[in-house]
Amino acid sequence: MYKPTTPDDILRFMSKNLQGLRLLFEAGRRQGYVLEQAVFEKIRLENDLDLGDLLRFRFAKQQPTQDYKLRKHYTDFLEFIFESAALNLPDRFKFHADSIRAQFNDLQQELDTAKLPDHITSLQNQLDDFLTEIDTQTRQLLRDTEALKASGEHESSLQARIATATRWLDSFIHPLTQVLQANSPDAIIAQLHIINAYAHKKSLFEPDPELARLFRHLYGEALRVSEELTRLSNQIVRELMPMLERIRRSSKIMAGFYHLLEAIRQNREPDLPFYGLLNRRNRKVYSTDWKVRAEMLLDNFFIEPERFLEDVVEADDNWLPDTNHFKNSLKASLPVDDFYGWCYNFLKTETPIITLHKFFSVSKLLLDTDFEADFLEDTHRFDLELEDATLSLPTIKLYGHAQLPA
Amino acid sequence: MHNYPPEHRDIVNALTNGQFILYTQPHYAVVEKEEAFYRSFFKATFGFDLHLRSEGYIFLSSDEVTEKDSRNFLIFLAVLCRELSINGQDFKEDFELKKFQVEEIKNLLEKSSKKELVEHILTDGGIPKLLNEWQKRKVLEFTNTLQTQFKFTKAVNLFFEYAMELVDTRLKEEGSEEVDISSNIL
Repeated sequence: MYKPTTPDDILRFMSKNLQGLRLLFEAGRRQGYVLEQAVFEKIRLENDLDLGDLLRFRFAKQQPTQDYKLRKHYTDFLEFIFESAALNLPDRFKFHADSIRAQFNDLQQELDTAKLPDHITSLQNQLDDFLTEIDTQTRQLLRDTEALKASGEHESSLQARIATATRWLDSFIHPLTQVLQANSPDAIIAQLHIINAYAHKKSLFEPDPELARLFRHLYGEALRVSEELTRLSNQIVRELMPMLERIRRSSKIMAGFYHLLEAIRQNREPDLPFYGLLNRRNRKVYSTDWKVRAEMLLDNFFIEPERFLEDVVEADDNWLPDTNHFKNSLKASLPVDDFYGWCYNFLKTETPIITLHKFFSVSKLLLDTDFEADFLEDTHRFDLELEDATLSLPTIKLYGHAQLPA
Repeated sequence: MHNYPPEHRDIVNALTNGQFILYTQPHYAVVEKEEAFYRSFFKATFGFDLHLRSEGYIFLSSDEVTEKDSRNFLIFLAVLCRELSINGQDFKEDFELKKFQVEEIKNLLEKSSKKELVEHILTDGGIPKLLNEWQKRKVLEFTNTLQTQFKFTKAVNLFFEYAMELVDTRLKEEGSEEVDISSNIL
């Protein structure tokens, strides 16, 4: 039997099955609220949801592809009560902005005053929709970003985090700020100011009190929306963007360090050399390649002349001492006033080179018993230069026994 | 004839000695004001390139030096950041604000699975020696006299900048936006 559905039925059904509906909603959130049949059935059966009720309350409908699509009215409502939205593409914001502009144009060009109230209400609704959507999205982004930062709920794999942060920044936040930026001529904020001024003027000069009241409402709405948008825009620029940029930056640094450590592990140079920082030591003012240059200079310009080493030829000195010969010569010269002088002069006649050794071989005759020496105490000493020594000697007189002074 | 600023000698000494000049030092403003002069001065005199980063640090580089310290420091930082991330900390925030305890760093690296990489780069003096070297270069500064506590200066961003450029180089080489990072990094 056909049973008409009442709002009470719907609310009762939702309140009774909220957990199951939430799971369906969460599962579809990232896929435009389209669930594959298998997924839909699994969640439905696990949570004891009645398929008949779901279809009767038009919570879901089956697509020609057998997949289930959740109805927008419900998902909007669930997004609102769960404070959980799927991110919209920025095109949608643009679409909203365009609609507001179109509505406003229609309002300004409307000549039939009877239709004016509808235009005003419609524009007001457009403004409210726009604000609600941006507000939900911003909250969602903030929450997701916090989660991403703590890498809790989200996939903690680095690659996924970089990808998510990059996607949010490039696809949502930068376009979103562009829509909101006040200094761009077709920005929504500029448009709001125009609506604002128009509504304000109309509310003051409109003779019809009913219309004046509506314009005053529009003025209030436009003012509220522009204030809220400024607040949200600040929130995005001040909180969201730095947070996401930070995640992107931190993750990128980690990725870079990962490449570096991998390169080190594989014992190869990293793909990019680091800056050649200077060594920490005191540096002199000369070129860093001074060593190479100095070596080149020495090698090429300071050629030492060739030197030949000659064999040292030993002088032929085969002089041999002959004590008897010396003694005889000395005897023939007696008496001698200066014995050492005599030795020297005598040797000079015998050999060209007089060494210490040769000198002593002659001077030892002083001790011979055939001679008598006269050592004068106050005699003066003289130096005698030999080949290998210099002797300081006294003057000694020498006699034979026969010639001893009386 | 160029009029040298009174700080000229100190500036040249510090920079050619491998130090960073930080925006907190009075010399920073002098070099910043005379940037063009110093750029050509260092190039013509030593063949060095002057780098002035708006984040607040100045340093010299050369293509001709072979210097091992910075490679070692990069490895140290890479492992440190990895360990901090594993612990769930936002390492970027830590590097900007936090005072690190030397002991804490030692323990962190001791536990790391990349421990042997760090050990490989350390000399006899260990972590304190490494930190001391980079303290002299002004990349970090000790915050107590016992040198058991330190924080990083702005100059550490050069190493992060390098890491990011390394990723860009990789991406360019691979010719795609896909970053090939296996999940074992974290």
